[in-house]
Amino acid sequence: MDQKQVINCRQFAWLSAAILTGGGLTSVEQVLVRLGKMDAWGSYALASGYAVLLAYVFYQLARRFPGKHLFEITKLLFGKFIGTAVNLLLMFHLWTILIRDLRSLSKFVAVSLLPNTPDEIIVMLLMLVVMYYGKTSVEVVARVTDFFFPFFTFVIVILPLLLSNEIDKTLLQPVLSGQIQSLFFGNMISTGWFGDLFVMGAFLHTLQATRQLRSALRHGALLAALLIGIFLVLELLVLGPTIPGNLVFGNYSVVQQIHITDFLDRVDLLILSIWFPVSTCEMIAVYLALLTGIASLVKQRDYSTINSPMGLLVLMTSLLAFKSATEIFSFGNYGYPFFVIAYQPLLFLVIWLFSLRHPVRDRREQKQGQSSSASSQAEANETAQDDPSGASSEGGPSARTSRRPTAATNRTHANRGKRNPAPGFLQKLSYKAWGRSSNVLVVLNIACLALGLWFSRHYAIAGVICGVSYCVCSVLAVLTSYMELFHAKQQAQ
Amino acid sequence: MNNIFLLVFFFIVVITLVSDMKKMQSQHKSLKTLYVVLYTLTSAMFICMLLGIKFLPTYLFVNNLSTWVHQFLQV
Repeated sequence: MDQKQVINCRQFAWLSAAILTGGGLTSVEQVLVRLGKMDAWGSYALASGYAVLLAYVFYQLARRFPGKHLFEITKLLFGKFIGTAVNLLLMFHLWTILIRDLRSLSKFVAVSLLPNTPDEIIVMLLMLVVMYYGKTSVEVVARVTDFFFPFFTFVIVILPLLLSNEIDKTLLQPVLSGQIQSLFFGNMISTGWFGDLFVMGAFLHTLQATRQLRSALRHGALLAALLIGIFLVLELLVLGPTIPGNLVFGNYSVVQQIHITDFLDRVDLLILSIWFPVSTCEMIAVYLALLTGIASLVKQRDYSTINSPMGLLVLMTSLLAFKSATEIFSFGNYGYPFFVIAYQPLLFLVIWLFSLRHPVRDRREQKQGQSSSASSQAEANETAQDDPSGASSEGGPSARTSRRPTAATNRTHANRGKRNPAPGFLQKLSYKAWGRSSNVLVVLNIACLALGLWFSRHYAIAGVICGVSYCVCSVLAVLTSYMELFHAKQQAQ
Repeated sequence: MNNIFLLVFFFIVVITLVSDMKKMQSQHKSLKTLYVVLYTLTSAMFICMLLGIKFLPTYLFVNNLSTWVHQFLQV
């Protein structure tokens, strides 16, 4: 296996989004609808904020430890013994994600496509696919996601159009009239699910430009929140606030409601053929992260050797972990989010605080430190060769002065020659301005929900206005985070 | 547990062990140790499955934590 793995920021963003949407498609929405009722569409506001904070922590870690992944960083921060204990906790979390998704996806396949096939066989076939990709690196799964994710996004975006004849807007009304407490609990559950974003920490070393890393994580998380949000709104608009709370696969039930003509009566099968690869990519990414973590226990990066025993162990434990479908979804919807909320924010806060003791470093500086005898010409060549994304890490003031891009980085840069997609009057906005806009929009999302829930008791129109503002802010947050990513790519030149 | 699955799983374990033998000779010692540990765990799980023994921590999650969260949320 190639020790050096490099993916670009678009692949990083889409892989992040696939990790968050892949698992969420087959579960979680049931409990969100039960809690939030007709206001369940606002369940991803806090989760988006949490993802933005997590992206900031990873950005700071990548600045201070360039070329290292999360498991290596925790060992450097906490030392051998505590670092290994923290890594074991993170690996346990990865294992729980894997068994949860493996079993829920197998149940989904059993219910929707193969009702007579034993569950064990479906899980085994899924795991063999995952093990096949386990021989490769994250680059491969990033490319597969790169291929399928645009189709996946397109399908979800056109779903409102396909379901337009089934939609009843009165099912969402009165808007934001529920209890604040219920919606808050729904937001906490979804925040637990968005904790899955930490999987990308295992691939921190694959994207050297730290600004791109932060922007990619933010864009991926906000895009995922929007896509799952669209699904939630459609579930409510088509099925109402009661039925989805009793459906295990509410998303699939919504898609089954597409009745355009007799010819297009089974569009759900077409859509499933796009969903399935994205969900599989999510599991593969989690599995690769788990392999990376286990290999890091013995200070190795090549995990291809342990792929087969680990894959078989995951297969066996996933089958032993749950006795029935009820247990799988009880774990995924209640126990798992609580477990994540209970430990992850605190752990990453501690990791961030410990990382502040270390100076901001640049990948190039690190290389200079390692090979002080090398000539400046050789260093320039080395940097150009080692940085195929054309991006150098950003750093402190000293790093900034030494980050003049070489001709090679300009030549290889993916964004070269691309026109700024922002409308005329917004083209002057800088990277920081777009970043701040995304942050403001995420905060506005939360504020819209709070204000709507507060004022709609007295004025029903206030709930509608806040609801519409929430939708507009969600879409704008995705667009601004995309522009942030665009400028991050340009600044790396 | 499905008998076809148990048989297929056993054959997969044997085939992967045989196919990894050659590669293992050139591997780092620590990786070899990890490989043996993981296969031992897998075999132990397989035997547990055959004997019907279940002891994974997910039961703690499902039976205690999930139930408590469910009651707390009053869903």
